[in-house]
Amino acid sequence: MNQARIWLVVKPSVGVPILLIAVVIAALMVHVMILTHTTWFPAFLQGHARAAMNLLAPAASMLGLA
Amino acid sequence: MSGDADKVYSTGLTFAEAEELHKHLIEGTRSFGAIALLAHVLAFAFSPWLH
Repeated sequence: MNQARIWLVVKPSVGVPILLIAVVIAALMVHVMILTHTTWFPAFLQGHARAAMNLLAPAASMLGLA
Repeated sequence: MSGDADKVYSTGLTFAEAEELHKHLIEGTRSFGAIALLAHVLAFAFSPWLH
């Protein structure tokens, strides 16, 4: 809690946004790294298209879509 | 530092104001940490991560 003196040196209107944006950038980097280096994360986003299609098949054929 | 409690520094803040701001920042960081901890627990439980 003794780091509060930083705000006597760095203006909060500058320091706080920089801090928050840095956290966002770091979080995005970690998510992109996991997304691009695992199979399960993209698979999670892909979802189970085939199962969804089976549900929609009757309606789709009725509407002449599939 | 505590001697010149009324001194206004170049950033326009006194030491007490800096402390007050920093307290909110610490609190925000703690709640961010708690949410992140929950997210990691859920990721561990429901994804192949570390299994």
